[in-house]
Amino acid sequence: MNGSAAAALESRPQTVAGDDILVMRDVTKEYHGVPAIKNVTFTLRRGEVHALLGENGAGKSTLTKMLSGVATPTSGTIILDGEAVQINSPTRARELGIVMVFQETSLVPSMTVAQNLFLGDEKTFNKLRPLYIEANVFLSSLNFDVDPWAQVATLGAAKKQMVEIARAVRQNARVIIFDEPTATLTPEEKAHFFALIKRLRNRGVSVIFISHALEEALLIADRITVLRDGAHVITDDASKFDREKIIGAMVGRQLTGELYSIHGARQARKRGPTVLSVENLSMGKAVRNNSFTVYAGQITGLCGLIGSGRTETAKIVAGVLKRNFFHGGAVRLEGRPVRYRVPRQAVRDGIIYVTEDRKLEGFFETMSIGENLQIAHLAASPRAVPILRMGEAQQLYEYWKPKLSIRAMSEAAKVIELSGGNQQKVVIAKSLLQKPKVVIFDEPTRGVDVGAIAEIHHMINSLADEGMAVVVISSYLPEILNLSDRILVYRAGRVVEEFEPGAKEETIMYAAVH
Amino acid sequence: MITPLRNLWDNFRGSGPAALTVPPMDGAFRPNMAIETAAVVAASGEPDNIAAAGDAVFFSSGGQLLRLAVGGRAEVVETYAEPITAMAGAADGTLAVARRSKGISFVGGTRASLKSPAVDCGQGDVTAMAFVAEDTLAVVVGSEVNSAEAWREDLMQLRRAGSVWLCDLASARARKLAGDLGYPYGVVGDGGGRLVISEAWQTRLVRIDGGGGLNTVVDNLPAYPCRLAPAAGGGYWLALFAPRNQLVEFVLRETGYRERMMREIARDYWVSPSLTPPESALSPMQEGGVKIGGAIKPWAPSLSYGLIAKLDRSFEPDYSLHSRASGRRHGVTSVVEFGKRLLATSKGAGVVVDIALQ
Repeated sequence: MNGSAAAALESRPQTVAGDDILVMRDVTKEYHGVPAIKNVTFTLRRGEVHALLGENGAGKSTLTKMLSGVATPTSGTIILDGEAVQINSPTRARELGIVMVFQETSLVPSMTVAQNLFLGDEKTFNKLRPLYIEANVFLSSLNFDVDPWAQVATLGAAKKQMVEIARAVRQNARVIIFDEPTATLTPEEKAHFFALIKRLRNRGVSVIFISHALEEALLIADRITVLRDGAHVITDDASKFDREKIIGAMVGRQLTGELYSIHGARQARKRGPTVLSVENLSMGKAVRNNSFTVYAGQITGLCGLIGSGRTETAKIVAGVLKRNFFHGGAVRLEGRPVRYRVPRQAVRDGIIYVTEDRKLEGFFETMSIGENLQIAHLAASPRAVPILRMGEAQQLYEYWKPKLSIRAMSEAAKVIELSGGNQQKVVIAKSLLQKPKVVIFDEPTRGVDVGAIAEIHHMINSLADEGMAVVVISSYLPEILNLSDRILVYRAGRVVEEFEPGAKEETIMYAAVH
Repeated sequence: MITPLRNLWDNFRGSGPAALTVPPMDGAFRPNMAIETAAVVAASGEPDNIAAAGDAVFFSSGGQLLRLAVGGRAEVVETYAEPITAMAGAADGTLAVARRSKGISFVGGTRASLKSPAVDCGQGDVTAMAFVAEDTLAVVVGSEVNSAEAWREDLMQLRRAGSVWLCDLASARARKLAGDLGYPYGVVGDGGGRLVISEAWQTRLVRIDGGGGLNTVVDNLPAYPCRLAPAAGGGYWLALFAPRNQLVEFVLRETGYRERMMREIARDYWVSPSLTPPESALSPMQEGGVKIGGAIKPWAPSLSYGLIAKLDRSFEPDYSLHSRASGRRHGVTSVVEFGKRLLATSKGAGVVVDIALQ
């Protein structure tokens, strides 16, 4: 957490006004007879920030879905301002003043920012100019540097998140639920966001804050509730928690030794042969004359500020994006120059890119786990016309489920029904099915809970131990320090510095900024 | 038919073999300033070759042969009229010295009376030598067309006129192992009876078997490789005398420009690799893009650089020692490990440095 974000919350009241605006009493939600939430009681006070924490699958999403009208409770009651209410649709939730800002944005990409802000609130006859002026004034009042004329599809993840937040604020909500709001924000944007939360709280708005960044929860929340396996574990004032206590409550065991604690003491793996060499790669203003090498048997960590060109470089290597047509540089795979028009060619050569935006690019959300795995298997098939075999999806599921600890009820479970961590494991399983030489993980643990983070880290380490060339792109520096054998720092579209695992965070950040 | 079309397309687009790219300096070539901060043990003209013979270390500077004395002083052993172009030391104290137009002579040790092997250098010079067996000397000739001094011309003329020779010292006979090489500039025995040479213009290391067959050992180096020397703990040391640069790669593809440059501009001001950082206003703007606040940034894409690579037993680069763009000790042409010291000649800075080993 940076200093400005902390400063934004300096004046946080130590005690919060007592009356409860929202009470969920003995709420249970079952899917096909299996309880996702069991007899949970949750209270939200007027004008408080309440952090809701738990591993993926703990029931946070189910709880908030019931509040936002996406799901209805099987049993139990929801009391809003002292009155029992039925929230059976998102529209009803909005009427009651409950708005949810989702982790994956629900904006319409083909519309402008202003159009998205006013979506569902249009008049019969709209004048565009006043609409944009109003949108501009409103965004400015929130300190959000977003152009209301910009098409949402052209915005980065952070700006999309800002529009999403602005839309919720604009609806004059009494209760706002933020699901992982800061995952895509830069430190500067986070400072603005926390200042915004403070303003909302001062206006009496109650905020439910779901995040996997525990430090943020500790900093911003007045109270914290932890769920585990669909059951309530603890609710108390934030001041009575620390990181260890939260993790202990979340996973039921101490994970400290597994997560982010070993950097500095670890030895880098020995470099193997050069697998991938990127030479003077250029793509518009995003990637500028960028060069680096990736070795077998090592994890190469790429860090830098958002927009520094890490993802774009990875996507060029994997054939998702195209380098400059003239003098765009070279990519060598095991010494051989390669240039891919489509990702499939890269996959066949053994280059796998595990996307940062898993929902959009990582899987087919309405298909089952097995079907998703089977598609990856078919994509890697050397046959010109792949053959679809009956039972193959089930076999693949049975093989990968224990290997990656995928928690799902069955092979037939749709990926969209899984938690973020398990979705990510499906994406990783899909990638590994294709027998890669190089795996590029882009933000592998974004939106993933601490328990799943440890499992994913373990899996990434084991790939490098097996001799594979692994690249990890992450905006979270402790993750880079924990995983990487070499750390390459990006600035303005190119690698500017290389560090060893024991490097100090300040030194790395200095290289990334200056 | 498809290959010429593809070449045309690549040339038009700057892709494939026509991509103007240089390999990254990371991993084994991660930059540091080990050469720049090393102790200077001798400052003398343009030190070029350095070799250990018996329990002494010799280096050359122009036509002078010098010995590094215990106290760090340099003593002149011999002064020749012609420049010394290559040297090799043997364990018995014999030092082989190659001079321009004078063949190879032997100084000290038990083989001082040997005749010069009959190596045909053409118009060129011997650029490196190594004792590879009791009575066998491996010799490389950088170019049979251009002298050692005219190495820039050789690069800009895109010559492949180097050769490798194996000399029997007892009979003074020489056998040509391989020819048409892109400026071989270093040679060492690989311990298995074969030679490994550095081919500067191809930026690679090549293994040569007894029949003259070539096998690339390391390809696509980020700098022009130079002389090789064995390392005490196993592996080898490789001096690299200048960095590869995108601008130079571009000039090497532009025949008209290159020919006019060679015709009309003095050699010191060519857009070409260099052993020294620029001192004249007439020099090409090698660091113009990254000179900030009047200071040359170390990551500037310079034309000169100081670089030594430690290679493992299979000649894969392990780690490296640098004098970066902002330094002065560039143009490292030769290196030798002696005792627990690593001595290197920086021809660009005119010094012999003693680098502390890790």
